[in-house]
Amino acid sequence: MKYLLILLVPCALFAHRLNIVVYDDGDTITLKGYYSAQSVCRNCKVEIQAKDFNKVYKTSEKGLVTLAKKELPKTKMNISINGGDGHFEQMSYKLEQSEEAPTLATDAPDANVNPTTTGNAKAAKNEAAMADMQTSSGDTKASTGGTNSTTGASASSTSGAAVSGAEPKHRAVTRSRPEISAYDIGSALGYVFGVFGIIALILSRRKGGKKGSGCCH
Amino acid sequence: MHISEGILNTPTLVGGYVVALPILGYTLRSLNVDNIVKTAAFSALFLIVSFIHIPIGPSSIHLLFIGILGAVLGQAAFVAIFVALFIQGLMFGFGGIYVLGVNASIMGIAALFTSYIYNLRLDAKFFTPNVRYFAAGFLGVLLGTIFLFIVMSLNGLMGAGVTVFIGNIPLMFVEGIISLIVLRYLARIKKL
Repeated sequence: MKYLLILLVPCALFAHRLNIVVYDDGDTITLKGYYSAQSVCRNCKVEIQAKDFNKVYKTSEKGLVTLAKKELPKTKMNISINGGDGHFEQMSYKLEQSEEAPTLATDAPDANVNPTTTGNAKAAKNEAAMADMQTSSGDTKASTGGTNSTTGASASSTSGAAVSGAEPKHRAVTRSRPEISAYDIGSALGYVFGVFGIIALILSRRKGGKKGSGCCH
Repeated sequence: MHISEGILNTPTLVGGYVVALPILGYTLRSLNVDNIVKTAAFSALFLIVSFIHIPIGPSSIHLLFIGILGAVLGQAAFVAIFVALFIQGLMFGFGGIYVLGVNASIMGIAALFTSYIYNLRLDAKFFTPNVRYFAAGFLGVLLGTIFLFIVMSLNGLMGAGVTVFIGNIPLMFVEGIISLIVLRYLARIKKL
């Protein structure tokens, strides 16, 4: 049992990694904050910073904030989301970057947001799968024929900047990606060897136990 | 080749664990104090090579080493892959815990098949050591991609499955060549 508890420690650590995804819906962009366990970041503080621009928003119950593009700066923005208790993530985003992105796919979390409103749900799911098969690795992806604008419509923002989304024919997706450092890889290797160390320990004890039982008869 | 969370339906996810756990239990029995260090090392190798992306056109693919694991570890390859996928899903979001059963079944069973085919004593005239080494890497990816295609087709994602299959064809050759080099080297230093 204690071995199982040791193994479960990292589950608790990484199940709540906060992520940001930005959907470009044409006239609006929608930000979504979600955790690695696919639960959304409700009522989380979203801060957008750029040159001469600094505004704070709050995510809706669905973890969404929809913003009109005309109210946002054209320069590179720093988007950060704070879920409290140390859950924090940030990413850079520029309004024009979506158009420059290679046309390939949308991402998986979107497929979970509003399954009832996805006109092209199957196509979007197909593309989501393609994106996640890791045949692509770019941070910025774009999709054609993705989901419709109801994500934007259902979103709200406490700052009053939220707008109802227009019907997007071309939806681009940009999401924050956790940077994998050498430290992370080293940690992962440590866990791998640790797991096999535990297996080796169990094996050696069993072997010892069998020997022990054999000796006393 | 990792399927992410939120793509597959629940019966497939459950089915993945139903297939993977008994195989894991069975293959765990092949582990012993003699081969566990080698298994751990190759499990770590499997984890590391997933980070090596090879750019192909606008996208990229990453190495898997399923065939090498199958050829070197035999049945223990399944355990090595399962542990590495567990850590990857947990720490880096490659795959995930819910899809761990499916991902482990796809890659682990491919490794087991590769191991079986690699150890077949076929016609030595054609099945020379070099052919075997190359075939191990090639078949590992090929079988894994076929299983992946089947899983995706069962979830109504046949289009994406075809795309992934085509995208993985270059990887089959790349892994075949790497497998040839690695296994040949291991055979030369008599570690195989």
